[in-house]
Amino acid sequence: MPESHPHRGPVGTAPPQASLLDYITAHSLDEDYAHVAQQRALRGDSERGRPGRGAMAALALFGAIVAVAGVQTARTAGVEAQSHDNLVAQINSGKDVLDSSRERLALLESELARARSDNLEINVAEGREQANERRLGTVAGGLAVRGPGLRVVVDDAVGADEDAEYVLDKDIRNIVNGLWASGAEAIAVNGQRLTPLSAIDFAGSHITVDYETLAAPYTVLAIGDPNRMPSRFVESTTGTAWLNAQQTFGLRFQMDVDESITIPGVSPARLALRVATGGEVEGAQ
Amino acid sequence: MIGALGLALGVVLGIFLSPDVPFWLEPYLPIAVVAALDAVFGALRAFLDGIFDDKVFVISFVSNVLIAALIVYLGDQLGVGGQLSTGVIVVLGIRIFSNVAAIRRHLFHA
Amino acid sequence: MPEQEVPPEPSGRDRLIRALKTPYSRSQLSAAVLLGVLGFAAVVQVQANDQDDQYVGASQQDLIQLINSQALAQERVEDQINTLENARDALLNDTLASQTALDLARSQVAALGILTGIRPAVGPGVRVTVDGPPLSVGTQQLLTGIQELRSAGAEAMQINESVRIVGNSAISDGPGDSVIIDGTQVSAPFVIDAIGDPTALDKAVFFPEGFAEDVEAADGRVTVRKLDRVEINTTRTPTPPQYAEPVPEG
Repeated sequence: MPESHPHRGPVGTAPPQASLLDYITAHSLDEDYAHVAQQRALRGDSERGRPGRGAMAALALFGAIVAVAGVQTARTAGVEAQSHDNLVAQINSGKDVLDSSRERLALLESELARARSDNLEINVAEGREQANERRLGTVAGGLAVRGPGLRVVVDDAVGADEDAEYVLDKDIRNIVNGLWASGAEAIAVNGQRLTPLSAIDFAGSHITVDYETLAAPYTVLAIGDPNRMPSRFVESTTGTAWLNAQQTFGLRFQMDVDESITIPGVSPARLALRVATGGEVEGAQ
Repeated sequence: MIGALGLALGVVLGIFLSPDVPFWLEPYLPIAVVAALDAVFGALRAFLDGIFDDKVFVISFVSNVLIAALIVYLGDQLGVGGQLSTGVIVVLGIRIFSNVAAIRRHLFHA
Repeated sequence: MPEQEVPPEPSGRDRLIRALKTPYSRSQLSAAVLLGVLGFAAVVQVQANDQDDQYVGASQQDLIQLINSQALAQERVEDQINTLENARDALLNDTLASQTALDLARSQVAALGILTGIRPAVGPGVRVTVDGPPLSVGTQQLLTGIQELRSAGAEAMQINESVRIVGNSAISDGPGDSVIIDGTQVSAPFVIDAIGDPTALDKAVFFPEGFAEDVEAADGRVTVRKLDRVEINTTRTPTPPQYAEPVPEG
């Protein structure tokens, strides 16, 4: 019984201007069935088509296809699911590793910043201490210095015979003390720089400075104000004492102004302290 | 009765043999199933309508499956495989729904 | 025939209102059950969508893509880590080296501070007391004494706890019997504190033809006390050199 529908024609027909959907829906059943049934009716064959062997075979085939497809899907689904899970696990663990690496990076950045500032601090402090060292070294004798000053050369009396006619350690001491009193900033005797630890002595028959044996003539170099040092030397106690001795015993003496005198420094080992240590510092440097 | 028997036999065979589907056949299997499904529902509706014919069923079954597979194959070669198979599935799906509706009307007088 | 009143067709709205008003009918019950199932399924689906595995829909291709881009990002981060580590280690090494240099410089400066008289000093040594009539102790004697103490290794000295003796200290005659050392006047009795090896210092003072003999020859008196701890607290501020300039290291 062909059905009627208010909005459609009987099954198998479509009104004009039907949409694609309407058409497909209307023609969903193969027209062949209707056609063959019609033919059968025309022939007078009253037997209604029943499912025969062909139908059975087709249905069997259908069942087989469905079953195979189902089994196939189940199989690959298992494998696919597993590989999917593996990949997901890989991604997740990769994410964890990446996160911790990023954390490490952030930590490193702050470590680097701190290392930079520490380094800067140390370098600044190092520079400062080395400047201090240079400054004090100049005064104490660790650094070579250059500047204007006096060149004093003394020698034994000509044809010296008795002790007093030789230049003694006492004489050198007087000259050196006189030069310090005149404002000398650095002094050397026969190339030996005088430091706070230097001793001018007499050993055997020779004058020694810091245990270095010296021989006449003795050159005493002093860096300082070349204009005022000579007069101040002459006025000083020991300068006067020397000049008296010089004149009395005929010791030879020469004092010249020199525009550029170079006085060597001593090695740091010569300035090393063995027993003295710092007391409480009054006021920071 | 024979129909149901045939179906059960086929399912059992499929499960027991569970052949390995060759790789080149894999993409056509789903569409073959849907095309076959359309033919089967069409046959069931024709049976309930009283116009079933054995020959027509077999022919429509085989031709549906072959044509669906052919269309998908062509589409893959032309580079529009995805779109064509979508179209085929849509049409088959609508037909299946429509036939099932008619069958439902027969069975439940709904 | 009387016309039968055809009740007007109820509108959709009327039907809805009527349905809402009647609470219990078979059609309503079955509709309710089906709607319930629909609601339940919808909620379950929404919740399932929300959950953890955000990769449910992802294809193998997508996942592999993700893994690749992750590997790239990992590589980049590890490169950066490497670079930063190298930079940090280089800085740490430099800092270490500089620290060593700094410590060295600091200790040098400390020693120089003592030598130049800027800092107080402490250590074993001697206390030399010199006294006598006017001519027995003066500039000459003190000069000799200081030189002898230096040659015996005196590292720091002070006189009468009022003036620090350093390298450029100069002694001159002062008014009366006093002497002037670096502008400070000091008079007898003279107390010289010296830090060094007490035995050596003691020996130097009493060396033949040395300081003590000179003083005692003029009726003076020299006593030496060896001490485990001599404190030298006088300091001086050296004037910065105006004529001497450090020679640049060539």
